[in-house]
Amino acid sequence: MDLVIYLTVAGLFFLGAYGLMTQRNLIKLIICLNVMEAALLLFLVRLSHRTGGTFPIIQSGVWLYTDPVSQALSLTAIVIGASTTALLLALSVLVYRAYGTLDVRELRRLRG
Amino acid sequence: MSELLVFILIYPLLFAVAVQTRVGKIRPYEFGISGIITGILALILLSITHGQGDVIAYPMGGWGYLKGIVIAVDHLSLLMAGLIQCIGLLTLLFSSKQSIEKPHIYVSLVLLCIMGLNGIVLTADLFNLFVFLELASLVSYALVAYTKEAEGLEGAFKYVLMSFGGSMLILWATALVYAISGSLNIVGAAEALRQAPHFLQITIVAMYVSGFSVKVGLFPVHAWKADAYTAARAPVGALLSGASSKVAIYALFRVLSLLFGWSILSGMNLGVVLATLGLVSILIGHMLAFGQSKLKRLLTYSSIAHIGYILIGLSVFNLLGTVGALFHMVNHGLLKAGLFYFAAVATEDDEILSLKGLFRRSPSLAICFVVMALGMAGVPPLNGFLSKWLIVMGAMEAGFYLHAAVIVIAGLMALLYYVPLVQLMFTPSDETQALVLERSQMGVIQTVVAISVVLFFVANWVFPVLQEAASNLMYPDSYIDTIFNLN
Repeated sequence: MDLVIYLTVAGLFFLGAYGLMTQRNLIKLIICLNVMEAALLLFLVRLSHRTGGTFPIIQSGVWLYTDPVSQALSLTAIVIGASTTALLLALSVLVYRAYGTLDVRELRRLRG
Repeated sequence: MSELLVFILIYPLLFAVAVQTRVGKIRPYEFGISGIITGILALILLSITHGQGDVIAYPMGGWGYLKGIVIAVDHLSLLMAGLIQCIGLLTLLFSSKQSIEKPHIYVSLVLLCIMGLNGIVLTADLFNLFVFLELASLVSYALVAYTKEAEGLEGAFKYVLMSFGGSMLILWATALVYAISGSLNIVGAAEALRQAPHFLQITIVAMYVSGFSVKVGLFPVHAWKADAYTAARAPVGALLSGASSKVAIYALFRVLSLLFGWSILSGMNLGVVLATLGLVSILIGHMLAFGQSKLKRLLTYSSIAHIGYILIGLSVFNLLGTVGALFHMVNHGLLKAGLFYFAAVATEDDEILSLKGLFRRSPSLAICFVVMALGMAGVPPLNGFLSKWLIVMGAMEAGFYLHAAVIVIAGLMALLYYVPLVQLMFTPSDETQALVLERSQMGVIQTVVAISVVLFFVANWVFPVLQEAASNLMYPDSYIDTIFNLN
């Protein structure tokens, strides 16, 4: 079961990276970045899993908790990903206004 | 005094928020500048009280290194923090006369970028490092796109696409470290990592190296750098190439040397790999700098090459090379920032051809450029010569003869593309109207020139400091002990 999850993580990550190299549409590129990030979130959430563990609030008579640290990490990573996505979407609106297209191949005023 | 560390970490945040409140119509630049001066004073205070121990560590919230987040500082972090504040200060001083729209937001962004960089050099926690790296990167994207002109947007978009991929690799490596060791503290995670299976070690090192080399802008992933720095306003380019890329190199070496120690890393031949990456970056950077028509793009390519020098100096891993590399970080940071400032005031629309006849129009500016260019190329008696010479000696001592030879030859290549610029300045042109600069802008450029000359002559006093910093990087025992003793 573990192996399936780890393979999914790697598969999603490289799918995102592959899309990043092949896609031409700015919005699709942003989605690819989000796929890469989602893969890592899956990995982080998997790390917190303990078979039979309960939610990480200390109670009497319970000794096995899921790991709160990596859940906190994934929350922070979600925030970072969300802010980067927001910035990228704002940029792509401005890019569309300036260039009249969302095709990344058309962004070529900077050359040299 | 270790509480001062927290202040140094968050003072830019305080000032960045306070600028936005506009209480009593705050003048943004003056406010930001006084903020950074506060930070520099705090740094000086910290380094004076530093005297006793080598390393100062502060556990946030009193949680110790196992559960909590530790921020720690040694001579190396102090050096980097000083460099960041200096370049931040010069950048704000210079931009105050640049008529940038919405100065409140601009100053906030610059301060937040400084906060991110401060966080990277001060923290001893891997995930914290990632968060601060992302903070600094996010702010840099916004700064590159600040003008909202087509070029800026394009540069920023390419920058984000590359840089976010790099961040994801760093995050993955951090998650792997946590999965293996159950700790996010650089020191706390080290022991478990050193006993981890070899292929996991190699995976983590490869992820960190590739992730950080995107952030640094090394050869195979350097493309964003030229676009972003060219499109950004010149002071922003100065901040990014002067401080951000240096801090990313610092982070790479600090993380790797604390997590694995150099014996495991050299078992993976990491030194050879990194030095070769640096070698290729030097050659590619200098070659691409030829025949550019835009000054900022030329400077960026030269910046890629100089990152290569620093990388070679650090990866030969002996005292000479490391001291040279740290010295070169300072020299290149200041000189490249100075050259970006020069590009902002001396050229029209960043065209190199508009430099024609500059000597007639503003002799002192032209002379400043000549000094800075010679410093970059490594001509004595300027600081660039000393640091390059040390890196060459370090490379020779470690047996990297090819790399040493390339560094020497690359200095000549740099001269070859700076000399036509100088020639152009001394060619008479039709436009003879004197170029009058704002006093503060001229002052910033002259300060950079003065520092670069002075650093050569006071090298005897500078070297002991650098040596302390280099030995902190190479033999981090006191850093490790201090953090272990927190619990």
